[in-house]
Amino acid sequence: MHPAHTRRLLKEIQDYHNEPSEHEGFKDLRPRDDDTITSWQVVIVGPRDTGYEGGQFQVTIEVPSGYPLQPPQFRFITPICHPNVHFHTGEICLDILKTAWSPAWTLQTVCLAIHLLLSSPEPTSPLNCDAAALLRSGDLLGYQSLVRMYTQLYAQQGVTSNYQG
Amino acid sequence: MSSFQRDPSRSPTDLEILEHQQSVVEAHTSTQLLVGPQEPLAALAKEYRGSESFRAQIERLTQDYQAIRRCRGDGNCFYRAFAMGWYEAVHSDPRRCAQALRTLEESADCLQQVGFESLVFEDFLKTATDTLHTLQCTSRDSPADAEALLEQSFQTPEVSNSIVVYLRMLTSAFLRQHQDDYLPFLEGEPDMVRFCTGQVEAMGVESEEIHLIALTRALGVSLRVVYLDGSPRASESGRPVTIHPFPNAEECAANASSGVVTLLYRPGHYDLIYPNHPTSQ
Repeated sequence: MHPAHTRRLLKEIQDYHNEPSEHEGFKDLRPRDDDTITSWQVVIVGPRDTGYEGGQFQVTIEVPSGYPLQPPQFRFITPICHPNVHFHTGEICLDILKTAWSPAWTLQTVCLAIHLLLSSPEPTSPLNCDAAALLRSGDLLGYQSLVRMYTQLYAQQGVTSNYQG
Repeated sequence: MSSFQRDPSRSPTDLEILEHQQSVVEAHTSTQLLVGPQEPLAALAKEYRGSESFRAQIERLTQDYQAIRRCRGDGNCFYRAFAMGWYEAVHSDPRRCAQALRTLEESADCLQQVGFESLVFEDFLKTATDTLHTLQCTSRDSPADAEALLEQSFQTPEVSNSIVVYLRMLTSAFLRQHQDDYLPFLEGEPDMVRFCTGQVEAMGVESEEIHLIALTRALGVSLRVVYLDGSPRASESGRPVTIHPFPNAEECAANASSGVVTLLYRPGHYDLIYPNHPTSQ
């Protein structure tokens, strides 16, 4: 009998492969290697009509042994300019990954929530103060161009320069 | 607490404040058992030595109640106390127990109907039914062993929290399924799905009346909540302690034959409380 987190992750893998429907928000969700089922990676796809469009953002997922009673840890590896993502550490400020976690979420649905966060930032709880300040001051043009610049610098296809802070 | 270095020049965000609060609560409560042993009501009176109105209420309670069982104040106390009280009320009675097991198994339909994938709840449901089933079997041979097993199960985090998770998901599913009935009672939140995600399914988020109504209706279980609020009016002679039936008076009476759960409510917290004559309740 597998431990609870392994049992759940195996089901999630199967579910993901059974329904390879349009996950247009993310792709390549899988364990990083064959040896461990608790370290995953995924590519979040920049949403259309945002400064992230055309960007492919590498995200790592660490699954604790208490999963799914405890939340997984998601972290951007590709640098991204977003009010709720720490530019240097890639930490994501999203309530469902912390105080509002529920085992009703799966790795897949969290990926969709992160994709959604890219188009709907929460400037009131910033991890990137500069981006949040632009957004809060109503300088949408400045905000969009800053986001687009970082997307082009780090997250365009073919670009492999991952930030290692 | 967040692992990143916070810029000291800016004020903390709402999330950081909430995380900090949760870490304080966790540090404060993690030494407390998830569910304690039964204690006589006198133990409760000791807590309120200085408060005349609370003591008068507790004095009144001793006429009808004999013991309490404390539950950890981690935001899950309602679900945990309710589940334990429910299992305690049914496990030694084969008819009630069979009915409770059937209710639990059938409740999965409600989750599926509102779109929960079985992979997110089946392990938790299995823990909930396995625990009750084992209790039932143990109870047949030795009621004393069953009591000990019940306490031990609810003190084991994986078991106890799995049952809490399932009841949270069921409460959420029931509210979503009947959202036309319940939406008018949500203050300031026009979106049932968002309410359920943030206020029902999220671990550690406390319950309000709407949660109690939804869960007791989803399971068809009678719940009585004894309110210990220390209100000065309570010490007026002859005024009984306030008891609220859930989901409402009629349904509570109608469901009583399948077992009754009685909880003690103090502002912000639920514990179990035991009547002198459980069968006559």
